[in-house]
Amino acid sequence: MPWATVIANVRLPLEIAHTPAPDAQAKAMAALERVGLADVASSYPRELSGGMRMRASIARAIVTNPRMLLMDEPFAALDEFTRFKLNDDLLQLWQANRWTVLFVTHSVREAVFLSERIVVMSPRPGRIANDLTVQLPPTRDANLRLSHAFADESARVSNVLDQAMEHTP
Amino acid sequence: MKKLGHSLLPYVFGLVILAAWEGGVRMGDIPEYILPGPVAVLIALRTNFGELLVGLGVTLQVTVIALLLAAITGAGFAFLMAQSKLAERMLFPYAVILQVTPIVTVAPFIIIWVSNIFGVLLILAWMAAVFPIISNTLFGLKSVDINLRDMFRLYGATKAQTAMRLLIPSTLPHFLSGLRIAGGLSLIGAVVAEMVAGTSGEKSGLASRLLEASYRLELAKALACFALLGLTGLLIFTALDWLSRRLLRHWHESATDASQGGN
Repeated sequence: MPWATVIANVRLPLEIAHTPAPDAQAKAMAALERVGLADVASSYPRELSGGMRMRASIARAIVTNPRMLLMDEPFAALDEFTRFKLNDDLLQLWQANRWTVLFVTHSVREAVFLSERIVVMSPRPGRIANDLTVQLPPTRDANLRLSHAFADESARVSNVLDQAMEHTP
Repeated sequence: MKKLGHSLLPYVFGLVILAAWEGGVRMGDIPEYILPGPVAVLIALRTNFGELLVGLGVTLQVTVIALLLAAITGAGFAFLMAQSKLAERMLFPYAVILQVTPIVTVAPFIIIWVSNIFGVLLILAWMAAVFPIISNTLFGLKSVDINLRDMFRLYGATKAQTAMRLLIPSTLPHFLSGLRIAGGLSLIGAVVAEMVAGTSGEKSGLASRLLEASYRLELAKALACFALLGLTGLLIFTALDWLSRRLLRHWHESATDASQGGN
């Protein structure tokens, strides 16, 4: 919501659920601290960078302590460099908090980089074509993208995806 | 320095035009009942100042109250139409009819039906002002971000919560843009209404003063009324523009420094 401050945006889900104001404020602040945005709590969204906005929307999503986050192609419209940067940010947040995230993407590299488990879907009809466990260490950083292990794993997932495409009538 | 020059530009332009006018009137020896010069108008303004100010007060009262009514009813009407496609299809044609009806043509009926002359003026000015508010507000309500709508639904927001926290703030820029147009129209509506309703006496507005003066060939006084009305229109627009910037300054592109044309 561009008309509200960052913290007011994060408070929204709680306020809709009628959480008492001081409580909502404290929880929203805690959520912002977890994504590293506590110092811009009273800024407006247009004053933030794209990455900060993404983190703010994650804060809004986690403020209700959900059991799972669904991210549906959040970075699809971005250029590759920005996408890498946001992937790195997301990975860091994930490593600090270990949420369960269901992340939908069309990018094999993004999927491999972020995931522990990848479910490949076939096109029309969208069925589960394969369910893979990513063979990469759980502790990762941006350098991973340059490693052989990452390239091998990306190739493996690409092959599985190709097979899924071929089997469609 | 350059910036100061830019802000003075409209005044310089106005002064040049006025000087040319005064010069033309003097050199051509044009009598005051054909075309008075700006100096004569200024003198007429000063001698009749009290009377004209009272008139302006009456007209302004009609304008402002009609504008407020138009804002409330227009926004309400738009909100009603935004509830369903059906409601919009049912109601919008009437809003259009309301807009294309010249208030001069309906004035006689309103005068017959409503005995209170102030009420007549209000209704006519309201008719002139309400359409841009309905139209812009409706457009705003229909362009609310679909992702935000989904988010409100996801968190189980009630209709009232969605209205207060999503629809109203998100529609505000469009509503305000309608209001800025309606401000001028409301003034025009009030003036025309006074002219057709033929108000007279102590409590008549600026428009009746204008008519009166022109009947008596006191053109300088008539032009003084004219100038006052012009200034009032400018004042109303400036006030609404200020309000708009003030309400939107934190987030809307129209109210940020980037929209100032960068000079």
